Amino acid sequence: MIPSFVIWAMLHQRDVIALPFGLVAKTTYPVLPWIGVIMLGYALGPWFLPGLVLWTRERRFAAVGVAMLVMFALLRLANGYGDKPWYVVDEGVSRTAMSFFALTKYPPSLLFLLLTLGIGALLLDALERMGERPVVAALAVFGGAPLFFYLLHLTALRLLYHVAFAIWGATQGTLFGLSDYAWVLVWYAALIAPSTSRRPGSRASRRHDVTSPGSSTCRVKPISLAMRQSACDPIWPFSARQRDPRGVLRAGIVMGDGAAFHGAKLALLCDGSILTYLRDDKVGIPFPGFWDLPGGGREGTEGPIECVLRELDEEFALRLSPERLKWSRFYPSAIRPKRGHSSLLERSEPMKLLPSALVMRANAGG
Amino acid sequence: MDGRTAQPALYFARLAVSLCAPIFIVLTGVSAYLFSTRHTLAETRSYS
Repeated sequence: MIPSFVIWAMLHQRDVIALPFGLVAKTTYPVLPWIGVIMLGYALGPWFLPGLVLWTRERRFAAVGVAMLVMFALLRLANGYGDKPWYVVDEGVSRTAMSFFALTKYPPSLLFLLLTLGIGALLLDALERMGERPVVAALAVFGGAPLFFYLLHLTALRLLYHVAFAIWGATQGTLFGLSDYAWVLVWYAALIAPSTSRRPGSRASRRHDVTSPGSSTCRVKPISLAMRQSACDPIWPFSARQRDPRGVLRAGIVMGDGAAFHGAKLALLCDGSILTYLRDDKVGIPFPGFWDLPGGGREGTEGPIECVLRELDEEFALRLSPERLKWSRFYPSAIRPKRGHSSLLERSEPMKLLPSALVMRANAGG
Repeated sequence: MDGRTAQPALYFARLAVSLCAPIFIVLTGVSAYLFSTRHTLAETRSYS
């Protein structure tokens, strides 16, 4: 092997490089094309800055995804570039599709990247639209530490392989020791399920889990911890202009119309203080690092009051009875104006409204 | 992989997991950018 080939293999060709002592190194992921992909991600970075409204990013990713898939389709249909030719197979549409989508991954070809990244952009859009649902929180467990899970799954599979080999010996069936692909899927499910079982589904673990990757958990501000349920007055309308006869600003619930609401927020007032929390300062969640009111996304078919009281219990361990709610109002979504999503935030200028309006009141009381 | 001979279930499983690497690398670039917004250029280069 000539020395310059080693460089070539590292840059652009998947190959095996012989090392001393009989070891070999595989250049499975030659760096040159991947440098291009990582630069693409770097260029997209500004889209994830907090100043960009969530639904603007969603629209952009939807557009990028569609554009990449269209480019892929046009380039592939021409059948004159990359992994060509593909065939229309007599055996049926499925075989033809398999021929159509057989693309070079090592190293990643343009067609391969257009297809996978196009799908990826649409997935990102779709997952962000889903908001704070349990399935998204479960996926965030993996997404929060992708390299860790990548190495973990390789290690786990290797260990399982050796254990199985020691017990049963060499391959028994035609397919990874199994005779039917359905059994492979059963293995997938069995291996993935334990990793997600500790997710917000179990409320007991969620209540004090302040650093979870899920976006609805929070760091509780001292002022809110000091607040005692018994010391709180019944909840009254929340509005800068509405004050109760004693001149104390009271709280209300912000909610949907029951049929189409996506979440609810609560303004809980106690002795002139309003309960707030500081949202996690993380990439990808709505309004990272801002002060927010208790509340969150709807789960199942619960009503707005159920929703907000459940969130209050989960996030602050405060249990209030529904009768104490005195006022409510439906607001259009701050994140996606076209869909019902109750929130105190009006659709415009969320950055301006959140820190100023809420921090001031919280500090005034504390 | 040859689309004319591969077993369909295996083929489509393989196609699905091939999403992982490109998206992982793109998001690595995003992460690098976001890291750079809170660090100096020198710190970003050395990832410190």
